[in-house]
Formats: sequence, structure tokens, C-alpha cells
Amino acid sequence: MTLIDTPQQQLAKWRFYIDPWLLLGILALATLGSSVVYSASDGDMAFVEAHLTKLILAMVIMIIAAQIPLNWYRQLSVPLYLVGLALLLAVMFFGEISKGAQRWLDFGVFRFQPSEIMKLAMPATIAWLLAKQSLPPNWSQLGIALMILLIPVALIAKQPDLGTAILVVVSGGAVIFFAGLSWKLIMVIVSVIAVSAPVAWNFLHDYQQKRVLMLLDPESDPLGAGYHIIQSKIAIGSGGLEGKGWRNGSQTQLDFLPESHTDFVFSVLAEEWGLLGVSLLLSLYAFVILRGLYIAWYARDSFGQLMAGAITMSFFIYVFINIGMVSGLLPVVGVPLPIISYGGTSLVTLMLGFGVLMSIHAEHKRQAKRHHQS
Amino acid sequence: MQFTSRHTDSKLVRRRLLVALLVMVIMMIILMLRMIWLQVTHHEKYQELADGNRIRVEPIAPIRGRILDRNGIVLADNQTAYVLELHRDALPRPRTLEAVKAKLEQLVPYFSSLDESVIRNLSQQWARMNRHHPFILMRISETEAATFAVDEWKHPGFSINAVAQRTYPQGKRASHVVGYVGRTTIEDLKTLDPENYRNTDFVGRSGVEQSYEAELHGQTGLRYLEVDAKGRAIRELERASPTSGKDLLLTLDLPLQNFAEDLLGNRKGAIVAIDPRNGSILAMASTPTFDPNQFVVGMSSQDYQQLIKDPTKPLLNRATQSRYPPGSTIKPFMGIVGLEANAITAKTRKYAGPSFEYKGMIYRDWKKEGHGMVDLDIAITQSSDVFFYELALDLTINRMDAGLQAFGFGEKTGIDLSSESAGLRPNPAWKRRVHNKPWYPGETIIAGIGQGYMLTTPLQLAHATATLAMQGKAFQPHLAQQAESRLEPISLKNSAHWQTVINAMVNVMHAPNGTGKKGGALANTIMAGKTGTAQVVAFAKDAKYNADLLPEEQRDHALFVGFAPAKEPSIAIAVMVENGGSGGSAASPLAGLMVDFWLKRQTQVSNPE
Repeated sequence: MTLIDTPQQQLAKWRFYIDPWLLLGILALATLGSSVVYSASDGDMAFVEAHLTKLILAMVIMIIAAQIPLNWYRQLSVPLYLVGLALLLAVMFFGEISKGAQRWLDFGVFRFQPSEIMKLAMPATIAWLLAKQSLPPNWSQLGIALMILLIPVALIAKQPDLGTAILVVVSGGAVIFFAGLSWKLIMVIVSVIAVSAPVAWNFLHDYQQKRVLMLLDPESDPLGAGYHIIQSKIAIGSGGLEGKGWRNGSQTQLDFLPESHTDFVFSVLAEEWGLLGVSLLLSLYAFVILRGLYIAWYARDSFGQLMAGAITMSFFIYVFINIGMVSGLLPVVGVPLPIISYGGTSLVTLMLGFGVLMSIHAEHKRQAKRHHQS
Repeated sequence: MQFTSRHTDSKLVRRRLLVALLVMVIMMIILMLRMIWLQVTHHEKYQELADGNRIRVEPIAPIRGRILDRNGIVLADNQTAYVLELHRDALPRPRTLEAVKAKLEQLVPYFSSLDESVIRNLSQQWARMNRHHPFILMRISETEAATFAVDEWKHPGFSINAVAQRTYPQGKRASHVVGYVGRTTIEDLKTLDPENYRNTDFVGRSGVEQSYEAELHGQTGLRYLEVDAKGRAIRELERASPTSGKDLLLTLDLPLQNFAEDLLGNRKGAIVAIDPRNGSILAMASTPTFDPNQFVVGMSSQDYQQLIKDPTKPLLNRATQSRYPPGSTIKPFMGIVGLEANAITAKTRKYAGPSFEYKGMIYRDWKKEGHGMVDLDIAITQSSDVFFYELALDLTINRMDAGLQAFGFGEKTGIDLSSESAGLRPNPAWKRRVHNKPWYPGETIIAGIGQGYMLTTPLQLAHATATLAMQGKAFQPHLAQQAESRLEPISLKNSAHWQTVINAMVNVMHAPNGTGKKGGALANTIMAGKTGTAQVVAFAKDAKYNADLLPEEQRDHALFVGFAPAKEPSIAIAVMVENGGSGGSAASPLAGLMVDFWLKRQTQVSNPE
């Protein structure tokens, strides 16, 4: 064995890591999503092309992320978290106000939502902290983890971006939960939230309160704030078992359904593809989620296990909140349907998460290679 | 040890993963049950609702408020105009840009103005337009509308509509003040309320059209339309009427404005007239002007390029956005600052020869033979440079800076127009920050006659003159009629200093050797003023300035500030003629005529025939 590899040898040692099962699930979802976006945008190929461009870009990012060793993510987590925190503060002072909410940083060339960084950097930081010692975490670790979680969440909720705040809470909370937060404490936290909910209500913005109230009684204002929920429920319900057929949904095609290619894209699918289409979609999501749990189950170290669990859990929560929202189970908070909804910065973060998931699984192969070489 | 710990850790996490799986399965079942509830159990109810879904909500744009001058003369109005609209969701499939372009080819015989620029505009907007709202392709004539209406059914997706269109009946008059509206873009909706602007085609882009957008726009209404099974509107069920925008009454006097614009004629320049008693802008002329109607009707991109590349910059509001050296018009203000700082008294006499020497440098006076022994009064009347060189040096730049700041130099006046320039009031701290160089005494000397780094806008000069005319009482300059708003007044230790300087300014206009006597002779009243001539390029020591031999853009700027009547001021004026030559002959007569015109108008208004 030579001490220094020739470039050819180095190239031979380089291996390409990708998880075929995850990729398969994502591609199937992307295909389904594009056909729904095509229908929702009234057959406008410009929309589908833009959607596909973003999907492909996000997948390239995912594949690159899968090649990066897990240890890099471990070491990058804290610096990224701090950068994210600084950017969130910057948004507070210099952010651009869009639709009444201050979420964007304008860098001239592109606009950017710093809360997206937190969706991955924050759980990674907590996972890094908790995985340093044996699990379950002790009191001081829990205290620090809670602070790491709550500071960015408070900043995001203040923007105000309730949807993202919830998703960030879930991703960080999932890490703490998987690390073995005791059931007693979980009960305490749940009861504290239950008791403080009426207090929190007063901190919600008027339009947020309105959305919650609309959920309870959308018919009270059928042409105003309740319009979105009513039209969406009609779209889903009228779809029936088999659906009205692709590009035949009256709710979608006659423009009764608002935001039909973004947040309410699920209603388009439910109207045109019926319960069968919905089942297909949920099965594909279940497939991706099970694969994520499998990767978490067999991850080689605690950091990988916690991250894989948190990424999978967040993905599921995305799906649950969006479908719950458009079917009238949850208030309208503006969370897109992952991989299916048109556009959005969240797509890149989502795929980056899948890239990290693939990288966690690739650790087995990286380890085997190291053994083989030594 | 490490291994066992890792082993128990892993077991702990795996137990939690199983719990998570259980939770997710339960939540998934909840979603499925919800879907079955909606799509199977209550399918018939929702199917009926979907079939009966016949009400569509559409926004109705409010009517934009008009803009009027102080006499009620309309400067911006709305008139009915016919437009050809494109309804994307009523087009036959495929609804692509190419298909629409092909359709437009067929429409050419109907419309004379249907050309390349319409198609280019459509192509540019295509990707970002809202496909559920009609898009205005172009304006058409009434006859074209009538002809097309007969055949409209043959061309689904295209229709004629009558809309309220912004017009500016005064054309090129006061166009910098009034401004214009432009087509609403997706970018606009990031800063405007998207709900209220859902159906608004035009927003204010400049002038008061822009700064009073919120008041002029009004509140969008809604109408509830019954539609048929194909989504076509059948009838209107209910309507929440829009609230029209408020009319905006300006302080501007259109006859005076027109008079000022005509005085400038085809020269580049600006005239600002303020009522010093309340800060009302009476006239704000900037030449050359432009016709705001072009922006509404839609201009070819070639015309637009021509307009923005025009070297005379017609779109620029020279009164508020251009910065010029104030030249000698700064001298009355320097006089006040000098008296107040005790650097001079009204009786101080200095020898004002042909030049001033300091540390081996020669600073020349504009008058080759000098002015002899002068006091402040003569120094202002004859515009002695040497007197003020010496005064500036005695004052020091920092005291000068503080004194001029009180008059508002170097700061935005805060007039109700956007993109106002703050001018430039130089001081050592500024020079260190911007040029990273120390301040030289020579720069203090030339600052004393308004040359060097100092830059002002004509509006700033008019505002400072109004404050001087009112002996320190200052008012916020404004264009929209509103309650007067007082600014912090300038109070002098000895208020007699005001009268000293004002008397000198009267001599400028009416003394036999006053530099502004050409203007004074035209005013038909006792007025006070100061001329100024600002160098555009510096000349070598022995070179002689000869305007006739210079290219026009290198000739001096002619400036003038003044007010009238000197005893009870009712108008303060700043005049700036770019490359006009000397202030005494090119600027002061314009001010004299303005004063005469305004005072005669006031007697007409108060004694109507």
C-alpha cells in the first residue's frame, strides 16, 4: 500500500451515496405533484416548468448533501445555528415586509427566509448537544436545549409566521423527545400548554384569531374569511371516491378554490382524483416516512439517530398540518404540501433534509470503507 | 464502557421511534377518516354545493381622487376611456402566449393602434399577470369600440370595456408636482395592501400622485356575481360599493405656475415660490417638462428610452432633486450668521480690494477693480466676494456650518414629494468621512461665497429665504392644503440683525449699484433679494470668463433669491437658470416679474370685478 494515493486511486475510492428507496418515493411524489400543478394552473406549462426547475434544483442539492459525511453536519450545526439567529435578528430590523409579515431578507439577487435555516440547524444543534453525553439528557442539558429551541421560535413567531414557528418547534421538540425526555416531563409540558393556551390566544394577531374562529364556524362569514375553508371542503367532498377526472374539477377550473396551486393543491387532487388519489398520495407519504424511520432505527450513532428521527417527524407534520388545514381540521396557517405544492423556499430545506437523511444512512457504507482500507 | 452506553442509548431512541410511529399512524388514520367523512359520507351534500356554486366574488376598483390647484382648477382627472381587455380564463384552449399572439394578428383590422409594442408589452407581462383578472391590452377609440362590439362574440377572451382613465388636462404644466400614474406591477403589491389593490390598474409613480397615493386611491369594493356552469357571469347579486379616493387640493396657483414655466421658457431651470407666512408652495416650476398623459396611455419603449436618456432630463424635478452651488445667494445668510456670532457688526468696515490673499493663495473678487471700503450693507448690495472671504475665515467653518444648518441648508425640507435631495452642507467631519481628507482653510474661504462643496436645491433656497423674510419664523413647505405646521424658529440674540440684512437686500434690488436692480425695476413694489452666479467650471488665474466663447453646459448658473413686499412679505422666490450666465441679468428679472404677477393676482382675487 502506497502512502500517497494517485489522483486515479483517489477517484476510485470516491463513492457515490444515494438512497434509492427515498429517491423513488420522492420522484413518485414529484410526478404526481407536477400533474396536479399543471391542472391547478389551468394547463399553463410556464407554471409546470418553473415548478420542475425548482424541484430539480432542490434534488441536486439533496444529492450533494447526501455526499457530505455526517460528521461535517455535526460540526457545522452550531455555527449555522448562530448565523441563522443573526439573520433572524437582521430580518427584524431590515427585513422586507411582504403581505404584512416581515420574513424576508433581500440580498438583491435573491430573497431569502432565514427561518428556513433554523428548520435544520436548530434540531442539529440540539442533537449535537444531547448526543455528546449518554442519553437520556440530564437537567442542565434539557435547560440549554430548551433555550436553543425557544429563542429562534420566539423570533419567528414575532414576524409573524405561525406556520413556520410550529414546524420549527416540532423539529427541535422531536429531537428532545427521541433523546428520551421523561414521560413525566412530557405530561407537565402538555398540561402547561393546555393551561396557557387562553393566554397565548391574546398574543395572536387579529387575522390569526379570525382563522381559528373560522375553523369552528366557517359559515358565519361565507364570502369573507371563511371562504377559503368552505370552498376547499366543497372541492374535497365533491371529489367523491373516484374524483371528477383530471382537469375536470369545477371548483378548481372555475376559480372557486383560492391558492389552488400552492397551499390548497391537495384540494385539487382530492377533487379531481377522489379518495383513490388521496389514498395514493398518503401511501407515497407513508412509504417515505417508513423509510425515514428505518434509517433512524439503524443509524450508527445517537446524533444520526436523533436527526433522522426529527427530519422524518417534521416531514410528517408538514403533511398533517397542510391536509388538516385544507380539510377544515386545523386553522389556515400557510404550510405548503411537501413536494406537491408549487414553489416555495421550503422545498429546498425539505430536500436538504432528505439529503442529510441519506448521508446518515451512507455512514454504514463509509464505515465499511474505512474498515476495508485499514 | 462507551460501547454499552451507545447500546443503551440506541435502545432508548428506538423505543421512542416506535412511539413516534404509533402517533403518526394514529394521525394518518385521522386524516383518512376525515377524507372518508368528506368524500364518501357527505359526498352528496358537497357535490350539490359544488354544482350550486354560483357565486363569485370580484373586486371593484375605486375611482381615484382628482388633484386640484388652490383655485379649484383640475390638474388630474378621470375620464371614460375604452380599452381592449384580455380575459385569459375565457380564451379557447390552449391558452398559451403564442396562441394569443396569433389571435391578436386577426384583430389588427379592428384597431389602428394594435402594433408590435402592444404584443411586446403583453409578452413581458404574461408570466406575472393574474390570469383571473382582465388585462388591459391597449386603449382604443370610441368608433373602434363600437365596430368591435358587433363582432366581439367571434373572439372569446377579448372584450371591450369602459374604464376610468387618468388624464392630466393641463398636459405639460406642473407635471413634476402632479406626477403621473403607471401600471400596477406585482412588485407594487409587495408594498401596497394586496386586498385593496386587487383590481387597481394604475398607481402613483411620481409627484403628489405618488406621495398621496393612500388618500387618492380609495377603498376597493366587492361584487358578488352569479355565474353559470361554465363560470361565466350572469348577474350581479350584491355589491359592496367602493369608496372613491379623496380629491387632493394643492396650494399651487396654476396661473402663477404657468407664468413661471413660461418665464423659464426653453431654458433648463427651476423657480420655486413659497408663501412665507405659512409654507404653502405657490409655484414650483422645473423645465424642461414632460407630458404625464404619455405614461397613462402607454408609451412605446422607444419613446420611454428617449425620455429617460434625454440629456436635458425632463423627468428630473430640478426644484427638489437637482443640487447647485448657491453662489452669492448664500451671502445674506452668511451676514446673519456673522452678525449673530459677533464676527462683524453692522458698522464693521473692511477693505474689499480686487482680491484676498491667504497663506500665499489669491482669492479673486468677481469685480476686477474691487469695491473699496465696504460694510455689510454695501457688501451684500454689490456682492463683494472679498468681504465674505474674510468673514468666513473669521467665523470658522464650524460656526458657519451650525448657522447655515438652522436655515435648513444640507437637510431635506420634508416637502410632501418623494425623492427630495438633501443638498450638501460641507464641514470637516463630513470631509473626513466621505473623502478621508482634512479640511483646508481655503475651503472655508470659498464656502463664504457659496462655492466649493456646498450644494443646495432651489426648494431649500426658497425655504431659507422665506424664513429670512419672516425674520426667523419658519414653516414646513408643503404642496397639499393642510393645517400650517410651524418649524422651530430661528431666534437671534439681537433681532435688529434681521432688518440690517433685509435692508441690504432691498438695496440689492433698488440701489443704483445693486446687482439685482434689473429685477427690482420690474417688481412694481419694494422687494428684497440677492443675486448669485455659480461657477460650473473653474478657470485658471489669468483666464477671462467670456460666456460667448464657452460651450453652453460650461456657462455659469444664474441664481436669485428674494421676497416681496419687503415690509410685509407674501411671496418668497428662488430662481435657478442652468448655464444662464449672471444672476443679476438672467435670474433677478424673472423674480421681479413673478412678484409683479403675484401681487397683481392677489389684488384681483381680493377685489373681484
